[in-house]
Amino acid sequence: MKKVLFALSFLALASLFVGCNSEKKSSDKPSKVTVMIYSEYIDPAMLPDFEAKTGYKLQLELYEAQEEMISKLQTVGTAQYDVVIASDVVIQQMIHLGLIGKIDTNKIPNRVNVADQFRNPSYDPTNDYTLPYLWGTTGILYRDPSIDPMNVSYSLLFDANNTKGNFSLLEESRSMLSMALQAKGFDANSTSKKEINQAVDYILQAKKDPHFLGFDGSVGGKDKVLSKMDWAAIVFNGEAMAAIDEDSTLQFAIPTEGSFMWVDAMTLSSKAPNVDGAYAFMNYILDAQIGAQLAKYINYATPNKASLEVLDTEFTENRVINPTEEEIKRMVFLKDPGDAARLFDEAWTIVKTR
Amino acid sequence: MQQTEVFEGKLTTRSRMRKFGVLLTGPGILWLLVFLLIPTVFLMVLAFAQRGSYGSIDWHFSLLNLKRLLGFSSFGWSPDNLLILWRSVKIAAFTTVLCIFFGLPMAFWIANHGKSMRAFLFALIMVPSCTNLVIRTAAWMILLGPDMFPASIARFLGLIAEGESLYPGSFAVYVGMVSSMLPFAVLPLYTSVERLDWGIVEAARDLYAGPVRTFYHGILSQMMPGIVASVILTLVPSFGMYVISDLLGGSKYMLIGNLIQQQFGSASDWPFGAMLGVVLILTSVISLVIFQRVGGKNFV
Repeated sequence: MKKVLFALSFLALASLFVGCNSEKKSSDKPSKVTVMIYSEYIDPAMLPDFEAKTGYKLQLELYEAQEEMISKLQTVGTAQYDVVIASDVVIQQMIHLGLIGKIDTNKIPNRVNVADQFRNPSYDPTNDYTLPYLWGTTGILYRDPSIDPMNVSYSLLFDANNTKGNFSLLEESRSMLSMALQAKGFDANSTSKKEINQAVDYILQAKKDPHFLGFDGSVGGKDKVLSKMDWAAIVFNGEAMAAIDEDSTLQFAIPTEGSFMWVDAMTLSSKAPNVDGAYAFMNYILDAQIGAQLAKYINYATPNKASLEVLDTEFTENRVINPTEEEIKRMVFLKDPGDAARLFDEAWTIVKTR
Repeated sequence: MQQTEVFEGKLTTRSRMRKFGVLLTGPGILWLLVFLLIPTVFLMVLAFAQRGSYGSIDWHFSLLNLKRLLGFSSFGWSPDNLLILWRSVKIAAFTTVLCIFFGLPMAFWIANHGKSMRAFLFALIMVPSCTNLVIRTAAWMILLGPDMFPASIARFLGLIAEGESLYPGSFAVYVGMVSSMLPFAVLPLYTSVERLDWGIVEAARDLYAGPVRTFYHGILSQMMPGIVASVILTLVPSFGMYVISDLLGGSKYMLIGNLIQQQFGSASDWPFGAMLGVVLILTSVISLVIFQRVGGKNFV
């Protein structure tokens, strides 16, 4: 018994010391910035560069999916991270759940570099919570150089008389349903039961086509088109670019009925331990040179207008990465459906059951 | 003074034995409590809560999730959730039947080899399971692709058209399911083959039983515990499996696993996901009980 008591008191003593230690650490000036980001979504050369320029060590916490990122913030806590890279669709949810806080934009001089179309966006109308990181589009990747990519309709996939081969649709409930809504001539952000129902029927009709190979993620769809299993698939423009680099007979089109574009934004974790470091990182990314380097490395478009001047014309005039004015007009941002989320969920269950 | 008892040749008292018993069973009970009972009870409570706005949990209890499960959705009554459940049961049951069908001859074949050969054959069966399931499934995707030899053979036999591949489709799904579940079916079957009393088979033959009767009464009845074990080991995991049907079936149709994943993922409706989880547990338990009642009775 005595031995046990001794061991316990020793443990208690030890924990006291550990407690002291950590307290001492937190009173020091924080030396690192922790950024939560998609895997492979930053140029690794930027880590030492950021440290050299700002004095903060850059630590990356990787995630693979938005839901994973949100549940990590909810369970591990927001005090573990400074900057969180999040997609436009989840921004409203994250604000409501108290996961991200307001950004003091006066501390970020490079904010002036943000292009006009990314100021006061629909997912953050007052521009208090986000600064854009990279952006992209969604469209149809297909194998037929004779079809003009400026004039492609959803009927290329959904109309059995128009499909020229196997095709896959996007395995993401909200995105796919919003595209079907647009194909039927409705607003991509519609929460009308009647309109969503029509979108469901539209997808179900395509499902009956013997050419329909299934639902795939953007990468899976790209792989199937490249391996010629699919003739067409719905993919993000980054994947389309990678596929076209490998096989120049492929084409990428933003459908005439419209599609959605997306922004991955930099947000400030609500209990960020190193707020100044977070601002330093945001300012660093919005620098003209760094923004150009990032866009070139990841192969996505930059929301940084100063970077566009630095980038070579081969990159800026690439229609797949930087869509034309006309194509941009067709596209919308997806809004968080709020309580209509259940409507989309139930609609998707029907799509995947019948 | 307490009454002394004799246990394992030593004198002891009842209270000492009780203490010893608590010490021995304690860790096991604690394990079940922490990792089985508490999570299950939490799941059951959560199943009757509601989704609050923006994916939070609203602790108002009602039967709405149960009603939704039975098909009362925003789009009127449609039994999609029940269809999904039925499809999952069907795939799990068919996979189990296939696994037993292929596992039985395999178990006999392995048991007929010498000791060192047996170990080698077992390694051949078990080693693939050490690889990640997704990687094994991706390997099937390549193997069943349009340019590989299985597709060429099928094309030669006229089973598929020119330029087509063997996946995505239900054939590919079952290939993936059976190949990943087979090791778990073979292992318990092999143990019961090893323990077979061949004297009974001999006796059946002496009494002029035909081959079918000999197998049924002489072998199958002795192997029933092994078969029950392998059914449990294949049926329960294949019921919740959805990676294989997504990758090899083109994810055209949802299974119960997908539906649950969707609730905890994109729909962020944890209470409904919990309700589906409870239903998944109940369905597994019920199908096992039915199996024991129907299948086990004739033999045991």
